[in-house]
Amino acid sequence: MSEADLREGLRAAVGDEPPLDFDADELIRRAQHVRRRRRALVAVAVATLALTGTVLALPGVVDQRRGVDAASGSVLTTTASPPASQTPAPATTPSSTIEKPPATTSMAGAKAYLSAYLSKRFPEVAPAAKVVSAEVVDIGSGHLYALLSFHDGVGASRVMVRLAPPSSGMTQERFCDEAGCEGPIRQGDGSTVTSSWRTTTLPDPKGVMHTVAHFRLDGSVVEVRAFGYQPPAEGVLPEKVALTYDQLAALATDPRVELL
Amino acid sequence: MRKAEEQGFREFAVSHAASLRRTAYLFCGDWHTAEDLMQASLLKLYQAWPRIEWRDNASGYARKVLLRTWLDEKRRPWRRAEQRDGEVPDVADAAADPERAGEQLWARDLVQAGLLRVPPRQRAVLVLRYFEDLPVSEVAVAMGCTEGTVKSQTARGLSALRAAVEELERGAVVAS
Repeated sequence: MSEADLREGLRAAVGDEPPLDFDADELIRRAQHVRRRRRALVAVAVATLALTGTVLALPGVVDQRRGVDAASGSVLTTTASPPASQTPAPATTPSSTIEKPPATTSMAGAKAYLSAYLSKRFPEVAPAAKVVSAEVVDIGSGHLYALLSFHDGVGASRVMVRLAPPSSGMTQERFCDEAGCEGPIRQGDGSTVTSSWRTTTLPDPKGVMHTVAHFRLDGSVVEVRAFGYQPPAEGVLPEKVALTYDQLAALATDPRVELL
Repeated sequence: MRKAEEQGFREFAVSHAASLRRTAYLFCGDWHTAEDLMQASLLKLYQAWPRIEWRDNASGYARKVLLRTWLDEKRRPWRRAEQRDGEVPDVADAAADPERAGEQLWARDLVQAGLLRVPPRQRAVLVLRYFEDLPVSEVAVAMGCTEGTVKSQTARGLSALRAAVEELERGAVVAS
């Protein structure tokens, strides 16, 4: 078959063409209908997307605002070391709902009291934190050592409270020799608060720690030490600790955190 | 769309509807489907008309839309399953010489039946080149490929068509 035969065959193939009943106006009406429908669909799609986006974004916005409100109190600010001139903020007043210390002098009673008190007190100082566990151990010579594990929505961390009796001989000089310090800052009752805000690399687990020590008038010392997040929290610098100076100071100067 | 543009489209549609339907018929081999393809192509063309009205070659664009519409239609699953290579009904032409008319019908049927056995894109190239008499460059634009591809598709299409026609002729001889 030559190309000429093909041309002739193609023309012959359309030779029996049926009559064309074509209405251009009807076609245009259909096209306009299609266009209107398409625009309506696009409008609905855009509205749906906007609504979906709003619904999805709203909880984030609300959470963010809530987070800001909570943080305005005390939570999760892992700021750098405070300036030397900074004075400690007044300690948060202990809640009246927390029971008074029982009148016991036994070490077992002191441990039980400290564990219960810190478990209730700590969420007041750090509202976003949930205490996962609280453990108090007697390390001898009248020292108590409390370790609270908590989760504050950013990550998991710990806070350590060490209570040293007057007989321990812990002095500001010794504290500063061990950790390096800033202060002391004299309190209203004549006691002093000294802080160590140096970033220290710990051997295990690796991280940082900040410490506030309250040297009380009776010679006892309450040290409160905060650490970084373990495991490291996403979006948080590894050298940041989970609690602020104010929060540590509030715990350290709490008169109910004491050796009985 | 403004009134003037709409009037321009109306005139274009009226003047090109028949030729578009013929081309569509050679693509698909069925007048009803060809009518649907023509209407669908003109609907698409209406949506784009404000953009293409002042182009040099609106009919070329219309051919391109028609081809794409047909190829899209071919890809649909219910079209794939459909076979359109059956008997083509004879239609008598009373005004023509019966002997000559018979030859024409024979040739037409052979070409049409053979064409339906050619793969779609090769068939489209043959129709555009030998029915629409378009140059290779315009076929390449309509097909959305290079001129070299058009040439190779033309050669393969012709070869496939010849093979199909020969096969049909052999079958007809055996049957007679």
